[in-house]
Amino acid sequence: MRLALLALAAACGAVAADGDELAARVLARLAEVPVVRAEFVQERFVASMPAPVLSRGRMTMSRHEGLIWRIVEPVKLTLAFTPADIIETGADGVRRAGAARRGRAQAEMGRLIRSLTAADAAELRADFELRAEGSLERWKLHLLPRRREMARFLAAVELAGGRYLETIEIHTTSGERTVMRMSKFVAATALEPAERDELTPP
Amino acid sequence: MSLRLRALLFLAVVAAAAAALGVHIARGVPLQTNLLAMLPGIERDPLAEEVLTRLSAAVASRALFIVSHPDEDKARAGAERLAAELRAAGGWRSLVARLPAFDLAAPVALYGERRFGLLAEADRDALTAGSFDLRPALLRQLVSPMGHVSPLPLARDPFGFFGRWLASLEPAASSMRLEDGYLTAREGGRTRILVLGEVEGDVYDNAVQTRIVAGFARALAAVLSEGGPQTEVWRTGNVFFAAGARAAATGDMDRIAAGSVIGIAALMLLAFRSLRPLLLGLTSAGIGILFATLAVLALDGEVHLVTLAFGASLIGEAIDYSILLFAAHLAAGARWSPQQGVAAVRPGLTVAVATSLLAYSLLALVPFPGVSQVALFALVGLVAAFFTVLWLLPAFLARPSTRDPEAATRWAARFFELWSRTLRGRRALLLCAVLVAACIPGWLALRPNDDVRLLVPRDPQLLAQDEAIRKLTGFDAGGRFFLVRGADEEEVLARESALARRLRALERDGALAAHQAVSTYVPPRAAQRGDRLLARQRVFADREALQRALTGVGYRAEAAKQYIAEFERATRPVTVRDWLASPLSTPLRHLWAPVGEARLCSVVTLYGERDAARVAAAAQGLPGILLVDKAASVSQLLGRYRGWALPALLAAGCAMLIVLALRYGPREAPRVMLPVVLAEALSAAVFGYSGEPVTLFAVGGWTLALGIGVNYAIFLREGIVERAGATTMAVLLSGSTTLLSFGLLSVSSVAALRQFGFALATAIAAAVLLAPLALKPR
Repeated sequence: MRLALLALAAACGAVAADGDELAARVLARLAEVPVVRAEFVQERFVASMPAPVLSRGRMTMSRHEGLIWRIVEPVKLTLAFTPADIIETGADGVRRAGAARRGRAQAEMGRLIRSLTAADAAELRADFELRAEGSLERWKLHLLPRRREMARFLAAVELAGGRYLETIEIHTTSGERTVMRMSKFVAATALEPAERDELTPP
Repeated sequence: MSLRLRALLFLAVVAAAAAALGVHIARGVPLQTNLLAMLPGIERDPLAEEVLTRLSAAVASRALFIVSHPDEDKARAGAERLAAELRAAGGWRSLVARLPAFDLAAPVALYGERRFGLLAEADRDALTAGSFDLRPALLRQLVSPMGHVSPLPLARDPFGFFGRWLASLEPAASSMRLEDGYLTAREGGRTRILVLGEVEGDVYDNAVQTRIVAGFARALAAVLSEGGPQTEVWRTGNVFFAAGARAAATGDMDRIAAGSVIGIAALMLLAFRSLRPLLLGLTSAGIGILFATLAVLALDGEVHLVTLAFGASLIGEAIDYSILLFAAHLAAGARWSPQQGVAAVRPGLTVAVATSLLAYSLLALVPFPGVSQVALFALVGLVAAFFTVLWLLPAFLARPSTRDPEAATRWAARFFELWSRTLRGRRALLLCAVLVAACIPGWLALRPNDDVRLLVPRDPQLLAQDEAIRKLTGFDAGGRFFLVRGADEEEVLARESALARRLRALERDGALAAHQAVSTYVPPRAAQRGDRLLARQRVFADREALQRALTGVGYRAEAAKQYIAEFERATRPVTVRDWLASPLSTPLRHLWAPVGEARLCSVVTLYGERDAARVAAAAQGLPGILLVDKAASVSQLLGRYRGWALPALLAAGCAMLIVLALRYGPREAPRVMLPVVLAEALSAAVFGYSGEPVTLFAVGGWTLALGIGVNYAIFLREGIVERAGATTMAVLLSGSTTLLSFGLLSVSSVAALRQFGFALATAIAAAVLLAPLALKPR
């Protein structure tokens, strides 16, 4: 009996370790590529809307320097998430810094988007309980917020992909859902000078 | 009246005084440890002074702790444990390690219905510029990957105006973040957690301090033993600083009292070879202190810490008078009779006391509660000691000395011979000239310092922790604030927001970290009307167009209708009353009407001033706004009095000269003054050479030195029954005792006392050494 229990405990431990190990390997593999460029389609499901709001564009993600999220449709808007700030560029081409200073929640969301797209293992583990499923080639990561403050507005996040991070699905506590799908990945070792300029405060 | 009867009567008075003091002590002597309480109310504006008092009490009761550990869970456990232990020890109004979850409904309850009159600066600019297009503005809200972070659903805030306005209320981010309710910072591989405390009662109260400090020591031990050696606990708060200052000052007092009593005892025993003069001398000093303390308690109701420390050093001066009597006793030898002895010392003693009293009265005129209390203490103490010498001590010195007066004072007589020969005639002139010449570079090097922080001794370890906590939390309120006045709520708010606009510009430039003002939370009515009008013109002007834009980006038609209907309904602005009724205002309520609605005013507090001059200039040209800066006002005041000090010293010198002229004639009086004047000049030069700054307290020391220093010249000049040896002995002895007691002040940890002691010690030493200059040339 005791032996059976021990075996069971060991088995559970092994499963947990497997899940955790997969998450670690997925994140480590994603981190191998310093710069990724891709196209994206975003769907936003809003309670008071019968249909989701679609937007599309291109993104450039640098693990260390930040994320450029360039929305082309239905409105031209570029958001550059740097470790310190969020820089907005509207259709008029005017760059506005300081968005991250407009409140903690905004700054937290900016940090979250950056750490999600960069699959920053340290930040994600600090903020979320991670659970992985699938294989290294086709995986899914379930993220549950650890901290009370984040759990107030964020219900869960799901990441999925293979070699690259392909889908980000964010569920908020207000019942809204945002799904971002990335495709046509191009890996690179460094940012283009123009991209670097976008991540430099005006 | 016979000698004995007078002594008995005097003893009866002393006994009554002792009983009265006993009653005071039994009731508990109120000891004032707030060193800033020494200062007068300084604001020219009585309202500013009152607001300052209210705010200081609120701010002073705050205490902050940081518990840190490399491991997050241990840091949190440590913070919780610290709060629990402190709570158990008692003395706290509140202790918070983990903040309660923020009520998301509160901002909606207060502002939700009135949100159309509330615009963030950037939105107002965009709407005013006229470049506002409905559809792109709606889409921008919908396509941002950051989602919709607002307590209202998207359909009720489709442009995000309200969300951005709420975000603009948040103070500039400090490096601390709320994590599960813990205010947390991560740096240097450690997790640091902030614990907020508020002390119950007056932090300058002895009992409050003792309880808090002892409770903290126990709590710290508990936290460290649980969390292990990796745990670190920092603390700051006025209660800890005040307790530290008290410990330092009372420690000084004990040391100075013990040091001067032991030193004086040794000197007296050495000179008189008998226990009797020592005991009688200490009795006269004790009686002086008894009456002085009683007078201070009766007149001021409380004893200031500085007075107590100073009082301990008064022993040295009070004992001087009795020394003169003992020297006369010794000099008379077998021919001694108490009546004759008293008659011999009375003239010199009277002149000496009169000059000292003059100096102290001048000090009493300085309108600093602390300084005038010291002066009162000295005045009463010296008068009491004087009468003790004249009325009480002779009764205990009835029998003549058994020592041979010649032999007992021979060493002093020889010294006097040498001493006076050096300082007489042409040599004296030469010496004076050389001294003055040597002083000149020192005088030129003198520099003033009126920094009020000199008053407060601060433990360097505590200061370092305080600095670290301020840096981490951003709670570095410098003690300055703006006072905003107006006829009514609207005017106060309008004036405030005009100021706030300038402060925000300074914040963008980095001259200021942040400010807190009620108008941030309750914009003036006119501003709210203006914003609502702007929204009506730019957003709601064409209902149809807005309806089309909303449905065009995907909102259901009824959601769009509801949004527009809500705008039409919501016309009432947010008022201060609404804000005060909301839990959102709890931490900031002290900013509004701090002295009541009848005298309406508000306070704008400042955090992290990097450029004090620019911040101070922010109020220029704005009506009804005053910068209140206690530290600067006090420093200015200190400087002003220091500036008056030289004329005051001159006046005191003249007054003393008149007293001396009454006794010695107008031709000889300047000669008696010469040693002490030279001594003051020397002492000033020493300050210059040593780089010690000149403060009001040093000047106070010189004022006293003027009164005391002239005594030695008087004693020497008067002589005692033609025996120069005995006089010399008395002068040297009384000079040494004064030096001992005041000199010990110059090692005090309270900078003010140290300055005071250093000025006194140097001036007195010089006055004793130069005393023979007062003698008539042979």
